[in-house]
Amino acid sequence: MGLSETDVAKQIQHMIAFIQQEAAEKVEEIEAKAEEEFNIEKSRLVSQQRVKIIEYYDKKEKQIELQRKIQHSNLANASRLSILKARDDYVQALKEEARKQLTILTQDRSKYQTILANLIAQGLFLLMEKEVTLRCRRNDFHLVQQLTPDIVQRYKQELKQIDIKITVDDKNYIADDSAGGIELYAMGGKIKVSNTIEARLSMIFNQILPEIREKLFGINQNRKYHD
Amino acid sequence: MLQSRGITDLLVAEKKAQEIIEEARKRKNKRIKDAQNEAKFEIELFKGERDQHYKALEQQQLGNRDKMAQESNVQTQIDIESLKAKYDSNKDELLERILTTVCDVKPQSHINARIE
Repeated sequence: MGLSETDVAKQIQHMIAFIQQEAAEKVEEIEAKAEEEFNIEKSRLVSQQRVKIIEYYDKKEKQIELQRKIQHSNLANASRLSILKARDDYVQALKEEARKQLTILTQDRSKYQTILANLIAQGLFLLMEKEVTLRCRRNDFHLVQQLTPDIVQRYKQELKQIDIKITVDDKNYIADDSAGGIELYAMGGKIKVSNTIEARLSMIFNQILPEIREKLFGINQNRKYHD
Repeated sequence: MLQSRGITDLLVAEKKAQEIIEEARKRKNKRIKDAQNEAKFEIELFKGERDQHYKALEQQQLGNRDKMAQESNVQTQIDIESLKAKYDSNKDELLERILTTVCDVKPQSHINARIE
């Protein structure tokens, strides 16, 4: 008959146990694999997104730095401009002060006389014309008329050309509030020499501007050439 | 009789084994799907951190903005003030020079037109 009942039962038990063990092992295997794949997938997703996020925020933080630099630069520029403007204001103030003082100075008749005579002479020497019209301030009209003959004399003494006719303009005058001086016209008004005190001031002021700037603002460290 | 019972038992055990394995597989798939959610959660956390850091920087910069402007203005004012001091101390000397030069008129005839 072969195996006894007990033997058969035992065999069956063994086989069942075997089946159960196999199943348990398989489950363990599946669970281990599951954890592994879970971790791989999770870290893949995380690092993928991390890179994007880091890039994004790095860029934005760079923007902030850039803004800061731009602002700094703008402030420096604005500051420089204000200072330059202030400097220019002082230079202009100096010129205006000079103009005021000249106006006062020319009220000293004896000094003004000399200056005016020289201005007229200078103008005449420049023009070297036969017919010249002089224009002055209303108040100086008589003074100019007074001075003219001596000046003409001197002119004739120095130059080979001796023919000259001076007219003092009695219809048009230089502004009363100007500092004085003279305007000379020749060729029916086509040639003009402006030898007013103000014109002289402008010319001289502009020529010595470098000196003025140096005295007022110090030597320029950034300047490379001085001739 | 005995044999058939034994076989039934085996079949039952086999079926049970299959079920356990099938459930394990289902759990595995779910676990892998969970990876996505957990990853998302971690990412959000990280993003939040970075965002906070960035916002802090932004605030700092905003605060500095006004401070920078103020400092610049103060310095500019100081520089402009020092101009005044120099102007006042040099003014008279310069005016003297300008006035003297303006009033010193030297009329000169042209060298070629002079009488020898």
